[in-house]
Amino acid sequence: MQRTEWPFNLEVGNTFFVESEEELRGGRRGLTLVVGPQHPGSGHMRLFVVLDGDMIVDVVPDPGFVHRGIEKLAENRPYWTVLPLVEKASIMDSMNIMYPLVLALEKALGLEPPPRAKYLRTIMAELTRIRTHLYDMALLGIFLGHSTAFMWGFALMDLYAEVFAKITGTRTTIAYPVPGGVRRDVKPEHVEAIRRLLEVSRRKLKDFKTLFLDNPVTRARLEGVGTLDVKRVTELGVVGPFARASGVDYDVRKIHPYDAYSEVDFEVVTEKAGDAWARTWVRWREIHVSMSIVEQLLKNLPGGDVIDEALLFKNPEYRREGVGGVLGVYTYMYPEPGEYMAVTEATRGATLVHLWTTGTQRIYRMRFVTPSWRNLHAMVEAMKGHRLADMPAVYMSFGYFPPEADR
Amino acid sequence: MKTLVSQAVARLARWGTKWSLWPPHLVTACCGVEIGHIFGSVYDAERFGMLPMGSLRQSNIIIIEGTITLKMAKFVKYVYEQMPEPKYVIAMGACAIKGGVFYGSYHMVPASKVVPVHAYVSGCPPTPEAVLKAVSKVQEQIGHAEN
Repeated sequence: MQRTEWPFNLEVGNTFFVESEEELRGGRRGLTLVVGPQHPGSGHMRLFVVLDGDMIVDVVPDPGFVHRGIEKLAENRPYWTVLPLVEKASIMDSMNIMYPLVLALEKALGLEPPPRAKYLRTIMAELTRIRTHLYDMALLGIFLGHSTAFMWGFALMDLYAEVFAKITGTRTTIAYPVPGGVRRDVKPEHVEAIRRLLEVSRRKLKDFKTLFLDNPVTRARLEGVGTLDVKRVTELGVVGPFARASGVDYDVRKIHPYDAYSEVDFEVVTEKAGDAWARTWVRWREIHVSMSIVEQLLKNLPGGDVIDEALLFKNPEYRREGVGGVLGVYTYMYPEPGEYMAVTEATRGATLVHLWTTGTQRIYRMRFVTPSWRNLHAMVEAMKGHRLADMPAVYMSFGYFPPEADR
Repeated sequence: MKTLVSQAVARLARWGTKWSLWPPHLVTACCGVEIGHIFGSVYDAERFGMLPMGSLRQSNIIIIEGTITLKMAKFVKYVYEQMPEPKYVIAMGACAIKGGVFYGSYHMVPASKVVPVHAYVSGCPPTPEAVLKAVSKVQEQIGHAEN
């Protein structure tokens, strides 16, 4: 066939844009279907799906459409400007995704946040967790063709966005924690806003459940689809609620408690089935667990400063000026040379940051392992053996978020 | 008489285009989170005649949601070329303007180098109100077009 100009390549066997046939075992002919990156769902990734009839035989993922080189960019700028960079990996989950970097930088700088800052960070982390779970569920709804779930999910998320805007100044990318504390203190009206937010959420979530999760069509689309048993899940290295849906009782918040998690009482949600429904149901139950964590923390919210005493000592005007002077202090703080590591439980699983510092204000190397990347292989494995129509259900039941995976 | 009729038809076509700006599902980066809010029930872009379309053959506006990486750029171009005329582009977010927080990355390109852009929205990510303002700017451009 004639080769035309960029970006077309119509040669047989080139799966860049066109469908091609390929040989399956036993001499059967399979069809390679290219799904994405423009497809009637959400997410910027491409899947090469090999089909036998409409049964999925093999899936080859092609991630990297949102690879923006966060790890490399982090080496070329001062460490306090790396925080908003890391956050962009998963913007509605911003607090959780930048948590490990903040903890690692605290180790490097020798800072210890005061109790009020620890509580505030944990509260915000749980609120972003609820928001991200709602986001994933709303998108699961639109993937299944259930627009009502999308509308209700996003309406609920908007309440969270408004509360974040009230507390931190931005709707989505909140960049709330800084090494040694938090960027802004909360006022009594903000605490009241969070209380009311939880109250409204509880009421509305009941309706959301009736509309979407109790819907027999949703159950039929999700139950028994994309099943991974506990052995397979451990082999594939799945993390987060998707591993807990198969019965892996692992939660970083419980096993290595950081900040205020050691002072709250919560259960680690697990399910046994390991199918798409179990993965959805685990996340649904986690929303309620997160709400109870926030309520417990708000009840015992301690007073005092929100920034470490060492930072306040270096910038005595902080108390007078409020948040203004915090970032300026870092310009004359140098991290100790060495390696620092921190693991936290982000919404979609364990997130790891590994820092190498050499004593300058630039980070020598930052390794940033995100949960979506680790769940990608399991998602692809779970799709195999199902019908093409079940592919969207499996895709979104893993809550796959490409910017988070590609970094 | 003939010119009068053709002018009236053109005017009607402009009016129709103005209130039926349909974007394809082309999510390029994380600003897609705010795009969800725009089409959600709170901001409801459908009152401006905006409705996400599954097929790019039925759509006439691309909202570039944040960063375009080099890998994505050829697909943005490819989608843009397949869309029927007239077509419009809104570049959303600091990354699409010049790079934003990712300025200097080895794997990204500003939106204006890939497709002609009709309106820019600043912010990281922009608020839904800002994007809807850009939509109304594009509608103004359509309304004041020459032919």
